[in-house]
Amino acid sequence: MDIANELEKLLTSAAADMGSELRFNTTEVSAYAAERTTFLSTLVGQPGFQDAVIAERDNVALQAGISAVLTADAADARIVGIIHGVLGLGARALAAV
Amino acid sequence: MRQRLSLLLILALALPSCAGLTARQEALLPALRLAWPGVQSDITTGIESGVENNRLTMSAAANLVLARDATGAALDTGDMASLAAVPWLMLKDEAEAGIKHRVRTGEISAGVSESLKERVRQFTAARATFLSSR
Repeated sequence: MDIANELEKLLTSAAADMGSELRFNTTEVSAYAAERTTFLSTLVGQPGFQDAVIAERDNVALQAGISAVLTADAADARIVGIIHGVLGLGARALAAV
Repeated sequence: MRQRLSLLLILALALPSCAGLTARQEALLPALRLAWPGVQSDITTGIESGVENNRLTMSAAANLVLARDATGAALDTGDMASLAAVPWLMLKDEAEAGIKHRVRTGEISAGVSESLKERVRQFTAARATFLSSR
């Protein structure tokens, strides 16, 4: 087996994969947005309601941003694990030659 | 062959940081910038009301203003080191004090204050996530 070729293929595939990993957990963020919308609906007519609307918009944006980073970090960790595994196999194969 | 593998190893070690860094710069930093004006306003109210009721000395207030402005500047440039250097917890306390002050004066309801306090919590968590390393 040509280890270098296999690694190159793996890295190319991982790089292409990363583009699709740059997302947030839509289920989690949608649930949070729904919760905040429900809460906001209870504040209609209260002093400062417009400030609350802006604050809740910010809350959902921040939650989505946090989720995007955690998702990306998890993807990175997974890729590192795969690469380390393949490198380990490659190193053993070379040592045996 | 070995040299090629070494180069691939270097690439492999550098590549995994990309997705996390990209997400921080392209998803989380814009969210922090979006939320900052509101949080900054709460901090400012906290500092001003603190001086008015003698909770803060002028010197302490001046330092807090500097820290507030440093946070804004760090968010503008996206400079992680500058953002990490600002003592956030002091500013968080002022934001919360500012929100409480607005409830006391009747400017906002207790219910609305919960939205603003949630934003301070989310901003705190987002800042920590932005600065975290994997």
